[in-house]
Parts: sequence; structure tokens; C-alpha cells
Amino acid sequence: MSLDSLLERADIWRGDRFPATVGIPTGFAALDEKLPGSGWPIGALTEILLPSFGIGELQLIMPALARLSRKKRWIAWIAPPYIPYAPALAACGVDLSRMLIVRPRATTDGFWAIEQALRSGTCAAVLAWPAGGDRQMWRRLQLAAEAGQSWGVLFRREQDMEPAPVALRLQLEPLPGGIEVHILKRLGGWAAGPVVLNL
Amino acid sequence: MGDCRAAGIQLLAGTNMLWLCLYFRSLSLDVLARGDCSPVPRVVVFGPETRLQVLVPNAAALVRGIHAEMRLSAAQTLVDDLHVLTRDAAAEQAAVSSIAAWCGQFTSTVSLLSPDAVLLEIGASLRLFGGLPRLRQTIDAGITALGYHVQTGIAPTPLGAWWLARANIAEPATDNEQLRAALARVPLRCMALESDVMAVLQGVGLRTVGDCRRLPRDALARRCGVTFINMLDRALGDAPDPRPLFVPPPYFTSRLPLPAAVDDCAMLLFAIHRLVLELAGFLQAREAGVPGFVLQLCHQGRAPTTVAIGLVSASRDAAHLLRLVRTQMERTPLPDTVHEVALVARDIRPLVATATTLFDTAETRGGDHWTALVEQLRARLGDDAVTGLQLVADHRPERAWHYCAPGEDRPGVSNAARPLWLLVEPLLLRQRDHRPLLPGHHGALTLRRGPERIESGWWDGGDVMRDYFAARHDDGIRVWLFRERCPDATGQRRWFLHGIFG
Amino acid sequence: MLPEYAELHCVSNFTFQRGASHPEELVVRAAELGCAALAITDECSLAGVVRAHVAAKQAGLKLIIGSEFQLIDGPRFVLLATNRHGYGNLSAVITRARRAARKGGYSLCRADLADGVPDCLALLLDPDTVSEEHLAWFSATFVRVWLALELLHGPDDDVKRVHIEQLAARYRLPVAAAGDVHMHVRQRRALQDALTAIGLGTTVAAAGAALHASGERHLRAREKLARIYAPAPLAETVRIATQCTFSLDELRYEYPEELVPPGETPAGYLRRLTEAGMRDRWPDGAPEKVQRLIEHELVLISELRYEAYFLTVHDIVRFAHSQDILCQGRGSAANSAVCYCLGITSVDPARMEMLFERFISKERGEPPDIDVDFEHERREEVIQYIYQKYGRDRAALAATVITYRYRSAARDAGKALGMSVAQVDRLAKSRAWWDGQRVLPERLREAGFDPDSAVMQRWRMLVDVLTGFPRHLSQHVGGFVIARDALHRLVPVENAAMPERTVIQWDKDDLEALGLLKVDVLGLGMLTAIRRALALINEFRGQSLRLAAVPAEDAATYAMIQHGDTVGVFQIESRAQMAMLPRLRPATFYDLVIEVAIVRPGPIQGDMVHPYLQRRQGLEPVTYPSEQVRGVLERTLGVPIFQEQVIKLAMVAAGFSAGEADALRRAMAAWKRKGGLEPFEQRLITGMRERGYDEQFARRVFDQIKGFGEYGFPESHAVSFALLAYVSAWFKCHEPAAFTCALLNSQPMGFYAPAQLVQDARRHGVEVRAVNVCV
Repeated sequence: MSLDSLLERADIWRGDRFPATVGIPTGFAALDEKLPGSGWPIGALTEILLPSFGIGELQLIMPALARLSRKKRWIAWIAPPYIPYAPALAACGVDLSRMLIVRPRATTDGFWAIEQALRSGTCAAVLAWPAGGDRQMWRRLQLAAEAGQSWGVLFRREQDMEPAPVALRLQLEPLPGGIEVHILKRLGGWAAGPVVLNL
Repeated sequence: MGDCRAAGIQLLAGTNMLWLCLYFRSLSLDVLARGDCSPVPRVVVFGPETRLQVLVPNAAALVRGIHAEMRLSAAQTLVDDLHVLTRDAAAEQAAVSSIAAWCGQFTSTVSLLSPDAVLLEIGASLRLFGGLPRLRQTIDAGITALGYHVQTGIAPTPLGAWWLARANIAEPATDNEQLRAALARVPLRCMALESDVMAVLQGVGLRTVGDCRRLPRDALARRCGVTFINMLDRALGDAPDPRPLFVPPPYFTSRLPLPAAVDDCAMLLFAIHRLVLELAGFLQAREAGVPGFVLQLCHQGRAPTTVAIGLVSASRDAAHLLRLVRTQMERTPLPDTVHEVALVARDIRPLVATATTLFDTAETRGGDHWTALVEQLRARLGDDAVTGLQLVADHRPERAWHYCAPGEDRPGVSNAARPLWLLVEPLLLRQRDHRPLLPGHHGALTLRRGPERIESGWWDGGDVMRDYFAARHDDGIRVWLFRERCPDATGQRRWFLHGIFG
Repeated sequence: MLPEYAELHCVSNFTFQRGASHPEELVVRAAELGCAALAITDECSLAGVVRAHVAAKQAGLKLIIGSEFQLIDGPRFVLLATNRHGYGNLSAVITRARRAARKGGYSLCRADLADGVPDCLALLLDPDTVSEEHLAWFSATFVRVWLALELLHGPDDDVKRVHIEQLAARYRLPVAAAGDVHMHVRQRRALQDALTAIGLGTTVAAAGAALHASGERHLRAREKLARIYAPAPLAETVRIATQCTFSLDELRYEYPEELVPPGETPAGYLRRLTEAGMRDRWPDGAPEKVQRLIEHELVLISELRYEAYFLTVHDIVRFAHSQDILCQGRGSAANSAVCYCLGITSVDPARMEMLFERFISKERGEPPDIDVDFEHERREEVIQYIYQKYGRDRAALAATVITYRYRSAARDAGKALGMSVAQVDRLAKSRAWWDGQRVLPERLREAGFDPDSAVMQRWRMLVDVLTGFPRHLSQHVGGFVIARDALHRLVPVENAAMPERTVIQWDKDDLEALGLLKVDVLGLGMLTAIRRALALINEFRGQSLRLAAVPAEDAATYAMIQHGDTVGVFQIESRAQMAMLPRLRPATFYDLVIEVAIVRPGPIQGDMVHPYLQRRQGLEPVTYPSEQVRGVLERTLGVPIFQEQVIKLAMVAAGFSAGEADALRRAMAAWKRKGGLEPFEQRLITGMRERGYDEQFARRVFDQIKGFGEYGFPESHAVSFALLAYVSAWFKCHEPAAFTCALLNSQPMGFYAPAQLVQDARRHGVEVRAVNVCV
């Protein structure tokens, strides 16, 4: 019995194999390779950690957003830190008529809104900039994402504590021509090496 | 369907008619107490102030030994904390009308039978609603959900149905044979006779309708009058009994007085639920929906609190409407206790129920349900917190877009050189040697692209004259800045941060 | 060291609803900035180049003639003429494009340019957005091609520059800087936006992306350009400019040549005709004074090479006479003895004071302006004769530039600013005719507007600049231009509003400025009536009376005139005239001349009427501050009534040269619209004071000049009209039936309606019979 045939057996779980779920293509081949399902996870949360907003995180998800909105799927933005600028979005190929911008006044309303959007099944992608949050909150959001089969993205600045239980955690670092993506956690695998993307 | 505006359109009794009569035996009480389900002993009283009598006791009071026509004083000795309600005849009338409108969803032939009964001609509706037992059950359940106690009678004639209902004879009489048989057992008092006629009949020893029939006609006519004979004929199907059609009002309004003032949200919702069900029935009857309605919570001695419920698209789904009400009520502060709730819906729109698709894909799911999500969010966060985005043809960057209703589509020009984030207000930056500094970031800003000159907007007082630059900070953040073309009061040309390339 | 620069892509307000500056403004600004040259390249048009040319000569700036085009199936580009041949080709291209479309538009496709445009340089615009196919076609079609690099602080200037440089390398084409200029200064940005909105039929607020994003499309300073461009593209503009040597002055003296019989010279032929005419007019020999005058004129005409004018008009008048069409020269031509001999005018030099310099002067350097009135009903025959003789490809009607006046400017500005129809209407009607050119705040308040509100200030600003802007070209009534060769190689020809009619892109002033041959073929109702009257009388009485043979200085006629009994009489039949006649009591021909000239807004506003009447009636002494002044004003009792007198006064009393005096005359005519009399005021008063006239006299004269405005009559003009006035008065006096009949048959014309003419005839004892309808 060779090692290869042993490794082929179904009752042996290999640490570098991914479950056969399909993700949303990110638009960056180098990143897709490293992600389970070759894309952003559906029905789960993705957390993106940044030193500060504006280093290229939106451009990272823009190809996927453009693709989803062109398929007439809705994209919700919950409490964005600035105004999502329509001319730039349109130039990236996003269909503006599928954008839903939610700007709650109270923080508690923010979590509630994220949950509703994730759960409703209407939104293919829910982008959130949550402030604070505890394990219970994240858990509820995760369940909501599963129930609605939505792709939830949480953008958080690194100094925010309390890591959330998510399916995919990325950390971004700015580079002169783009960003460096560190995959801190991914479902079905260990942390992988960084990917450099030019934006 | 309720569209016969002309009063006095009569319906001839004919063959194959089947009448269902709803008789509200405790209407006076239900009208005042249905907003509350707590088991408090209650009575409705009538009469002069010095000699108040009990008109109707509720179940809890009955159990404690109170009955109709008992003196109030006597009743109060039996039950200390007896809740006393004064009869509201106007409310009773309004209630009967509301119910009649609600009944419109089952048949277009509804007629009022004053003061406390509603007649429905259901012969044509039987098949649509799955047969007589099921229809009866649906109606009964619906009426009960509205908060009324009802007795139902079914007969081929209106009067027959009514008498059966008053006699609380549940078995339906589907033809005249059965009717005769059933009426045999109906006591005289169910005929709601004039007192003198009643006296005559009782004096002759008659007890039931059946008894009356055994007497010779002319004798009866002589003693009780032609009207009486006529009535019997009509009830038994021997003479036609045309009934005026009930015409529902063009819009919906219904009041629900609360037996005890309330400030508890859950209890309020209980009452509002009843009103929403009424509204749903009213809309169903007209195949219509509402894009919104108004709840009025009335307080003692101050203006009522108005809660406006708005929808993205018209609906008559009671569950959906109630959900929205619940969400909105949760964030509506009540300044005082509420003693009455009213619901008004004036904008009634035709609404055809959409067929459910065979393949419920993600696309269609998104397509139909996004309005529900938007309504849900708006109910709690407010209308302007939930919007879409739209392009505007204007060279001034802050005006090249605006928030709009979600889903609105408008083609426009897009500009590749724009940042994904725009600041709500341009941020004034400090300068050193005429070079801008980014607050909160140490290090230098390097200008990359520019200047892009924008000078426009002189016609509405919002003239801008700016040179825009894309810049990169040592920290990695890429920003969109502008420098004003005109120096300010101090002679300097100011730098502003306007956007961030996300 | 500032780099040299020539602006090669610039539109003026003759690119309607796009250009926001007058050609003159662009020229002046370019000169101020020290540009090596300026090209006015209006879109498929040369309508503004003459004005630019005149301004450029004054400013000492080199002007290049060009035009911008957008092909239907190709790119956008500019063509610049290098020489006369290239200019002709450019004009031909514009003509072809304009004739292929409805009025106001043009249509040009690649096939039209298959043979290229020789002797023109081609500048490809927005080369970074042009398809490969178009670029290749462009490069192959035109001989000398440049790629335009227009860096206007747009969103992607750097990318654009690199891209164009790459294209240049690939196709081996040079790159030239250009500015896509739409206005002379940045401050015209608001107006330029408003013009865009007006052109789209919408408001500025709704025009959106159609507006330019900034005001950068103006003539920029060379320091600025040096910062934006590398030296090479800037130097290239100068190289291009050097290759363009064409000037519009080269078009002068391109007169039709066929009028002169073979073997003769134009001068010789003209002399021959003049002498024949002299014998005609004065069978007993012309007076000495006249002979000297004629000699003087012929010498001057020959020196200035203007024979063609006289010969052309003579030929037209000869045709008219041959067809028994009555005609009479008017205007300054009436100052010419040669014209009288040639039968063009009827003003006898023996009897009148001639001011030939009013007509032609060496200094002015302008060709003569000969206007001829023809019977209005038969004018068309004359026009057809011209077309037939010279051909439609050599003769055409001049254009009139319809400009924005107050009402249209108020309306369009209001609509562009989004005002309601009702508001716009009120604004347009809010001005009183005596307000002059500015919009008065009081007038706005009266109409219910707050003149200081932001929107009203914007509106006022727009109206101020927009007034006087060209709106579109229209066909002039009778101004003809006749070319030596094909007209469309001289000036572009486009379609007029009426079908089968064409119009050139220049107006009368442009033609005059360039010295092109222009003849005004005008129609006068009274000439028709007079001819009819003559025909009736001759038929009735078996005579053959001619216009020239109507007895002169007839006392009965003057008596009738003095009573104000002048219904139907040319020029003196209005109420105002009838009121003046019994006071002025004309008794001689010259009195009639004064009568015709004096009852006008000009003399009235200049306060000449009253003093003249006083002096005539002997109620005021007639004094002259000097002999020179007496010489000028004696025939009008010391009161300046005619334009020529004012000019002469300026010359003798204030020391103006003939040229300056003529400039004053022009300024007088236009000051109400454009202002600009102030410098003359200074000069006049100072000049007069220097020559010993007192301040009060000088002020009086200047006020009279202002009052003249554009309503002052030239004497020669008054004389021509007085002739007709006298003749028509004679007819009325001696042959009232024939006269009334002639007037009625020539309607519509004159001051009175047919009913009134009939009534007046009855009053004079003419039997008016009922209508006789023969079936």
C-alpha cells in the first residue's frame, strides 16, 4: 500500500483540502487560489481587519460586488463610515439600482440591521462596519448569514478588540502599489501565506 | 362586490339561496371589552342613573352569579371589583358596519339586520371556500379573532337563519324542509316580536315557532295582524324576502375602546391586532391593499399619539402589517396611558395577489422580498435611514450623486477617477509650506494625480472653484484632496480632504 | 523667457450657442497675451473672421483663418488656410457641408474630403479618443497633419498626454498644443454655460454633463502654458502659424471683369460712359464747376481702382431703364457727379453742394457704397437679372447677423436660469424704449422683481453680455455681393430659411471692410406709384412725360405743401410732418430737403428743430461764431441738420482729419447700442476750444451730435428723397386722380390705408366711382 493510495482514502482528512462549497469569485486569481470554494464564503461572515479605512479594502471586494449587482442581487451597506460614492461605484461596474444604504442612528440598531439584512435572504452581500460587539452578537450574525445564505463582510480596524467567530479572516496591509492580504483564518485550512494584490 | 353604490338595490329571494346569519348576542359588551382578554368580571349597564340595571354580564361575571336585568347595586354586592361599562350604542352600530365590511371577503351579498346581526348570502361562495362546514368554521374563527362572541344560523331564508342563530341552533338547514323542522324548536322570543303580539301568542299557550304554524292562518292573522303572518311566510320560504345590500365605506376606519387604560405595549398590540385583522378582511373584500395606514392611540386629556405605518408596496397581509406595527411601536414612546385605539386607512389601492413562482430561486427571492426587508428596516430606523444611490449629472463632486428610494434606476455618466468613499463634508486640512497635512497621520502626503480643475455651479449659489488631486500618504492611505482656487480672507488657498480611495 | 505660442483652436460667438466671446474680444486678448498668432476656427463657418481681421489689423496681431469640423463618419478636426488657394478650398468645403443640410446645420462625411483639402493644414482633435481607422484615414487624407494636445486640467491629463505622444510616435505625426478656446477670459464661464443650456433648450441646472467642467477653455497666458506643456508642442504651434500666410486683405479687388468691353481699360470705359452721360444731362455743355468735379472724381476713382463699382451699378441701372423700371440712387452715392452722369442718381451737382469725400475717401480706404432704390414691385426682376448675368455661383445676397436684443436676451437668459414662462415674459417686457442699453433696477422693481436678489443679479449679468451676441444669420434684403470668380471660394455660402435661397456668411459691414463689391438693390413703394402715375397720365393725355421732365419749382405744388395738404406725398405725409409744414413753409427745393431731414428723432432729440424754425421765422438772429462755421451751416441757418455738416464741423472747427471725422460719424450711428462717444466728446470740445470757440458752443454741438445718434440724415440722402417728395407732390397737385389711382394700385406702401387715400381724393374733388366687377 503506497502513501498516495493511503492518502486517497475517504476516511483520512487532509489538512489542506477544502470542503466542496462554492464561493463568490473575488476577481483576483491569486486570492481565489487560497480561499476555500475559490472565493468569498456564502452563508458565512468574512472579517477584514485594517490599520485604517481607505487603504484599498473596498477595491478588494469591488469585483465581487460588481458581479453580484449585475446579476440583479442586492448589496446592503450597513453604517458605512463615509458616503459610498456613486460615480466611483458605477465606474467599477456596480449596478447602483441594487445598492441599499442603511444608516442607523443608534449603534444597537446597527447590529439589528446587519442581522435583518443577513437573514432576509434578499441581500447577496451585506457590508458592515460594526462598532463594538460581543460573542453573542457575532454568533447571531453568523446564524443570520447562514439562514439567509448571504455573504457578510465585517470591516474592522485592528485596534477593535474581540475577534469575531467568522469563516474567513483577512488582514490587510498597505503597499505602495496595492495591498498585502494576510489570511489569518479560513475554514477548512490553516492560515495561509500573504497575497500581494496590485490595485 | 360592495360596489353597488345606489342605496335600495334589493335582492330578491330566490331559489338556491343559503343565508348565514351572524348574531352578536353580547354586542354591547364585546364592543367595549374586546380590546382586552383579561378575566375581569365586567358588566354593561343601562337605564336611568338611579336605577341602573345589568344589560350583559361577561363570562367572569356570570360565573360569580350576575345575570341580565339584575340591579347594578345587587350585582356589585356580589362582586366588589366589578368593572362597569356604559353602553355605547354608536360604537355598536359602527362595529356591526365594520363586521359587515369584513364579511365582504366571503360574499358580495351582505345585509345588516339591526341592531346586532349581519346576514351573508353564501350560496354562491360554498365551492370557493371549500364547502359549508369549512366556510362556517372560517367565518366563525375570523369573527372570534376580531373579538366578538357570535352565534351562527344557516337557513335558506334570511329570517330563518336569524331565528336559528338567536336560538343558537348550530345545525344548518339547507332546504325548506329542514328549516321547517328546525324552526319547530325555536322559542318565540327568538322571533323578536312586538310585546303585544308576544303577549297574545303566549296567552294562547304557544311556545315555539312550530306551535305557531299549527294554528289556522286566518285565526293568527286576526289575532296578531297581517304583518305577523307575512313574517312567518317569509321566514319559511313561502314569500320572498328582499334585503337591502350593505355598501361598505370607501375607506377603512375602526375604533377599539380599551376597557382599562393601558400603557403596556404587548396589551396594545393585542388590541391593534384585532384592528389589523378587520382591515385585512376589509381589503380582501375589495381585492385591495394599502400602502400605509395610521394608528391613533388616544389619551385622556391630551392629543392622541399618531403612528404612521408606511410600506414600500401595497399589501393586505395581516401578519406582515402587524409585524411592521410591532417594530414601529417598539420605538414609539407613549406619553400617557391609552384608552382607545383607532386605525384609519384612506389610501385603498387595487391589489392582485401575485402567484407564487414555481422555482423560487435566489433571484426571485431577492426580487419579491427586498421590499419586505426595506419596510422592516424603515419601520425601526426611519424612512431616510434606508435608501439607494443614484447618479446626478453635475460636475460638482458632492452633487454628482444623491440618496434615493431603493431600487430606482437612472442611467448616468461614471467617472473612473473618483474615490469610492466621499466625505459627508469636505474636511479642512492644516498646511505646512502650502502642503496639506492629514490629521491623525504622521508622515507626508505625496500628490499623485492632478490638478483636475472643477469650476461649476454658479447658477444655484453653490459655485465651486477647485483643483482636485489624488494623493498617497506614507501610511498607505490614498486620498482625494482639493485646493480652492480663490484665496480665503487670510490670503491662503485652503486644502480640503474630500474622498478616500477605498 | 516665455515660449512663443499661437492659439490654433478657437471658436467665437459666431459658433452660435457655443462661443462666448466676440471675435474682436478674442483678438484683443490674444494680442495682450503676446500670442504669435490667433486662429479663429468657428465650426463650419467663416462668419466671424472679417471682424477678427479688422480687429487684428488694429491690434497688430497675426490672424489665421480656419474652421472646426465634426464628420458624420469620422473625427473632429480643424483646418487652417495657408494661402489664397487654401482659403478658397476651405471656403468650398464649408459651402459643401452647409448646403448639404438644413439652415443652421452642416453635414460633412469622409467621402466629401476624399481628395483632401490642398493648401490647408489639418489638426486632429482629441486624438486619444479617435479610433484607429479614423486616425489612419485622417493621416492618409491630409498632407500636413498634426495631433492636437489640449491639456485643460481634465481628470486624466497625464494619461492623455502619454497616449497622444505614443500615437504621434506610431504614426510619425507632430504634436501641437491647443486650447479648445471658447471665450477670451475665464470670467465668461457663466455665459458659456448659459449658451450651452440655450442650445440644448434646457436650463443650466439641468444641462448636467453637457456643461464644461471648468472655465479653462479660454486664452491662457504663456507662463501658464509653459508650466503645463513641454516646449516642443508649444513651438510646433508657431511652426504652423509661420506656414499660414493668408490674409483676408488678399480678397480685395477681386471685381467682376466682364463689364469692360475687350480692348478697353476700366478707367477708359468709365470715362467714355461718363462723358456720354454728361452730354445727356447737359446738352448745352456742363458748367465749369461740374466739369472740374467730374475730373476730380474720375482721377480719384482710378487711383483707388474702384471703376468696377460704378460700371457694375451702371449696368444694373441700364437694365432697369431698358425695362422701364424706375430707380434712383440714394445715400452717399448722391454725392457723386459721375453717378449723376451715369444715370445712377438724380441729384444734380450743378445745383447741390457735393461732398464727394463723404462717398469715397482715400483715407478711409473703403470702397464706395452704392445703394439703389427700385420700384418695389419690380425689384425681383432686377435681382433675377443680376443672378442671370453673373450666375448664381458668383452673385449672392449678403447676410444680416440677427443679434440678441434686450427682449430675446432677457428671455433666453431667464429660461436658462430656470425662470417660469410668466416671469420670463414679464422680464422681457420690462424695459421702456428710452432706457438705453442697460437694464434699470427701477424697471425690474416695477415688474415685481428684486433686482438685488442672487438670481436677478445673475440674470442681469447674462443679459448685459448676451445683448449684441449673434444669434443666427439671415438673408439681407437687397445687399448683393458679386465675385470675380466662384463666390464660394471667396466666402462660404449656406442655405437660407426659404427653400432655394442661399446666403453668404458675411454681412454688409464685412463686405465693406474687405473691399468686396457690394450693391444694395432696394425696393421703394413710391417709385412704383410714380411709374404707375406716369403711365396713367401719359395714356390718358397722350403724352410721354418722364420723371426727369416733371416741372421743377412749381408754385402751386409748394403752396399745397405749405398747407400741409400732403396725404400720399412721399416722406412728408406723416402727422408729424403735416404739423411741421405750415410752420416751416417750404418754398424751394432745398427747403424740402430740410423738411425731409428735420422731422426725425435725431434732430428733435438734438434740439435742432426749434432754433431752426425760430431763425427761419426771423425770431432769432442768425449768428456764426466764425467764417468756417458759416461756410458749413449757412444753408441751414446755422443749425446743423445733416450728418455731413457735423462731419464738416468736426473738421473745420475742431480740427478733425477726414478720417477722424468719419470715425465720429460711425460712432454717432452706433453709440446707442455700443456706447463709445466719450473719447470723441473730449477731442471735439478740446479741439473747438483750441480754435477759439467757447465752451457753450462746443457743448451745444456735442449734444446735437449725441441727439443725432443713428437718426441723423445724410444730406445727399435727404436730397434724393426730397426729389421724390417733390414729384409725388406735383402729381397730387396736378393729377390727383392718376396719382391716387397709382397709389392704390401699389399698395401696400406709404403711411395711409387705401380708405384714407380715397377719402382724401374725394376731398380734392376727384370723383370716385363705385366698384365695377366684371364677371
